[in-house]
Amino acid sequence: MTSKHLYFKLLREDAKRKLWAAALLGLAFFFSLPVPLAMVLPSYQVTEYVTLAQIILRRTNNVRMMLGFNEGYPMVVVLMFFAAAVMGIATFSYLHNKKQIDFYHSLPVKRSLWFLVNLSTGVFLPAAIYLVTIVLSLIVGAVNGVLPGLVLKTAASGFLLNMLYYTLTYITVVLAMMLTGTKIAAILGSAVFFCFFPAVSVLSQTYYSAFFQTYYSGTPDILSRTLLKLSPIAAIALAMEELNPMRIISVTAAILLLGMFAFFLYQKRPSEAAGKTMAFNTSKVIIKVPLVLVFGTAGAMFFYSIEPSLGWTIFGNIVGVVLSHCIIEVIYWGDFKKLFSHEKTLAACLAVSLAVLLSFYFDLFKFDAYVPEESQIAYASVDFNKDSWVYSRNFDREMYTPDSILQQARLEDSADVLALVNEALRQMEVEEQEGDTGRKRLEGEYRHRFRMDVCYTLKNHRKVYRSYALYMDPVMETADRIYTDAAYKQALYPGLCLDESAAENIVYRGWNDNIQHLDGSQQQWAAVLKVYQEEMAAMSFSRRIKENPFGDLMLISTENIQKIEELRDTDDKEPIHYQWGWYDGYFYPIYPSFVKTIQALEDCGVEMKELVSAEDVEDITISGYGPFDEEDEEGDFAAAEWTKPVYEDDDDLLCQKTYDQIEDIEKILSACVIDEKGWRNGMTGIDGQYNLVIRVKGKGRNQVSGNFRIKEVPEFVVRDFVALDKELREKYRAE
Amino acid sequence: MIKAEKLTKRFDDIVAVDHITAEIKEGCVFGLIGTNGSGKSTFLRMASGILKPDEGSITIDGEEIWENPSVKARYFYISDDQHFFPNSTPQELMQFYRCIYPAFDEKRFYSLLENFGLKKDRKINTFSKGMKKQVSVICGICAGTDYIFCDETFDGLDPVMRQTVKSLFARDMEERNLTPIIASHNLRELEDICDHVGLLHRGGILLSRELDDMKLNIHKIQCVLKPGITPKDIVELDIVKQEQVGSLYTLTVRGNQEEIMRSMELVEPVFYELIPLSLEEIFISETEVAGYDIKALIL
Repeated sequence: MTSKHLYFKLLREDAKRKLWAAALLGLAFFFSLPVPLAMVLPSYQVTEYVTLAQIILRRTNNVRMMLGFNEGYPMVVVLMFFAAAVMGIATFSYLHNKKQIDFYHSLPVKRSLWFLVNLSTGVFLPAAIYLVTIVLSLIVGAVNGVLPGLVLKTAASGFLLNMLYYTLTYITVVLAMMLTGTKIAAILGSAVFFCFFPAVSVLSQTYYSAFFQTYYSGTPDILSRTLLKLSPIAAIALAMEELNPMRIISVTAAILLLGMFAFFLYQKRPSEAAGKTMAFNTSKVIIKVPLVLVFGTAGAMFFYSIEPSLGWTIFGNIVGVVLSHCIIEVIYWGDFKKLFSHEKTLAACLAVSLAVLLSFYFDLFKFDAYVPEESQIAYASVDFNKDSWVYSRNFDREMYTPDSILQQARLEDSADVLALVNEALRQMEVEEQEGDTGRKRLEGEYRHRFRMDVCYTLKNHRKVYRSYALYMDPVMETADRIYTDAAYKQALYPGLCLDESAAENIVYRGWNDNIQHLDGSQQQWAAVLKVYQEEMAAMSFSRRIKENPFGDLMLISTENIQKIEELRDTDDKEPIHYQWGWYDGYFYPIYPSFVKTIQALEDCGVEMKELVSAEDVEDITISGYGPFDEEDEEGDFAAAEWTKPVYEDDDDLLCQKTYDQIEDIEKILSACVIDEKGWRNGMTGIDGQYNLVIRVKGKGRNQVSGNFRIKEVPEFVVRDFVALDKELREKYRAE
Repeated sequence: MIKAEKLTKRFDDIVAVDHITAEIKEGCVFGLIGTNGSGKSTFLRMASGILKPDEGSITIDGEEIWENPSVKARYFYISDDQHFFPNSTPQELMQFYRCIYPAFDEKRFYSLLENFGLKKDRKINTFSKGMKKQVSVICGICAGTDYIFCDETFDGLDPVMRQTVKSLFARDMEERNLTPIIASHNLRELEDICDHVGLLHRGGILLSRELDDMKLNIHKIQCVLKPGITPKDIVELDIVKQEQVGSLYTLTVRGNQEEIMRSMELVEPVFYELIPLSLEEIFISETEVAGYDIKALIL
């Protein structure tokens, strides 16, 4: 009998043995696909507003969503994940049982053939069940008017992709089965394979962000990014987020590599490993040491997060190392008395993890202080994080990547960037050396705090990222130079690069999301575009401190509109500029100093006005929690007393007052920033202690919210709230 | 012929089989005797290709057994605790074996099942221990292999079944030169079936001898001698063991029967009789000479 012939015979026999798995999978798939489809599809009914064609379209989209590989219906993906784990354990469970291994390995069948047969069963059986389920789903769809031909491609790609990622998970679990000798160990091993590398990635980033003030969280560190992907769970999540040919190729390669390794281990695996925790003695150390190190460093971080002192951090490190070492030894030996075995390894792990911890804690490698020499820098880029709205679904740059500006904006002359960085380091040193006193001093001297991200591209092509928190006041001129650099501005605001063909897409958005289209000719619209581009290019931080936008201009290319319209729900008949989620990143702020833009818009028939003047306001309610007086030491102490359950809930502490006198309203309005447009500036320092609700007279939206500018709270408001706060304290003290 | 040369197997610090050299010729019943932990099962598992030897080799007709399906097709292994597929019936088990052993005799299988009173479609997990062993033996016989390895298979069989199985083996030995290798710690079980026995102890082989050879060369004499004559006076009598109850001597002597009788005649005993020795008695005598307290080993 040839091997091929025997293979199919054994496959058939093995499939008979796995009928229970087929039944379970069949049930699970049945209730995941055809049944939900049969319930959902008929629920779309023809009405006077919805035609049959629309119903069929919706049903077709529904079938596509459920049969495809996407985030819209993750049920199948989740099911496949668990199926892979169960099948991985079931198909090779005989390796963990002495009776079974004696049975199978005494038979005249090569081990390689056994491996292939069991592996094949683990893949073909679920594939067959899944395929049948897809056919049933197509039938359900057809019964409800969905032509199979329209969804076949999606179903096929969904099947292939789901099976690809199923196989990845399955082969990972099989690998765990090869390395271990008991099911419990295999389950734990699988969990390690699923979580270890992502955990290391997250832990390393946590360490960087916890101990290094200048760590930039978006650092595209190849190691941490690669580590994050080294897990079937991560691979599946990333694939559902975005699938591309590279990902498919790398997953396929991973499957082949893991499969070959599993096969190699199967050949080498001794039969007597059945019943032992680990099948190979060599693998014990290889698996234990990294785990212990990770647990040690995680333990340190856990305690650091509760109490950031060196003592407790070291304690956490020791606890993490010792506990994990002991638990792993007990699992390996199956004997509680062996928990302190291999004490030399324990000591070595302790030493290494402490060394790592201390190097981070004390920044022994001078991460924070690092500044490259100007001569080493090819170019630099800076993100001042004052225009986060520009990243919102912006199709001119990759979506959802706030580090786009660091990738695109280049400053050939890095002297200004280095000047800002050196100022940031000076302020950091003040805080470090003078502690709270230094912090308060800086807070008192300066107003405008920035979080500045910097990327140095060195002449050796290495990129170095840092992030600095600093008060920009002493170096505002330098920041302005960078911000008004033409190339930098264009990289920051893609709208400044549009040509006049985009002028036809301009709309004006005023207060209350009120949209106005431009009247006039293409030439006039082009003039609006040109003049806005000039005025925005000239805008500086120094001016943004003093102004807040009162309206927006949508600047978008026709090409991008087409891209968006292809993606968004086309059943929605509302005008495109109401889809904030899609277009928000294309609305550029208009500041009061943009006089030429304002004039050009008015020439096109646009009416622009402030949302509220004092005459429009009914009243302003201000609320906040004390203490309101910075010198009020008793207030700070009293606030601590609020930890006692004297009051029913937090609202009892809330100070609130309503102002309806026009003189008060005028003063308040002149000192506040309305949320609706203010947030687009990001330069206005806000005093978060006071929250304003401004009730507007007349129809439509009748209230807006806002905050005071920092250090501009009117004195009478402060007086009133100090008194209110005192009154509340007295009241609860009496109670 | 199965040949083991310096066969060794270790499990961590324990040497389960220690440099065993042995030959198992075709056409005879080989008994592998030893206490628990002596290495019988380990030896058989290496012979079955389950365990890979750490040192030495084990071959069938010069071909290594390990990962050699063509050689492995020449034997059928019955473990002391045989695995059966969950909820399977004898018929389903037969269908599985038929895939693996092309010469599997399906007709004989059903016939034997009937003779043994076992239902082909009853779940094996409802069988008693003895019945399960019967199913294993039937599968082994019907597989049509040259060798059959039985690890403590006769334990759990009632005396009638034991005899039935022995007669089955005997028939197949005669018809197709089947070679059973039977591991057991029970000498009495193997006495009337084994042609050749090997005694294992602590991983090593103490002795390996044809049973007939052993029986031909050792005898038990019960005798009453004339007053004044002791067994020491009987010349050319190689006495292995001597016991006395009153005037009755029980002597275990080495040598062939004619020589022993000649020696006895010389002293004109009042009475003497040659009695056959059991396998157990032979072993005790042989191993006591070797310095081992066999009673402690095998009883």
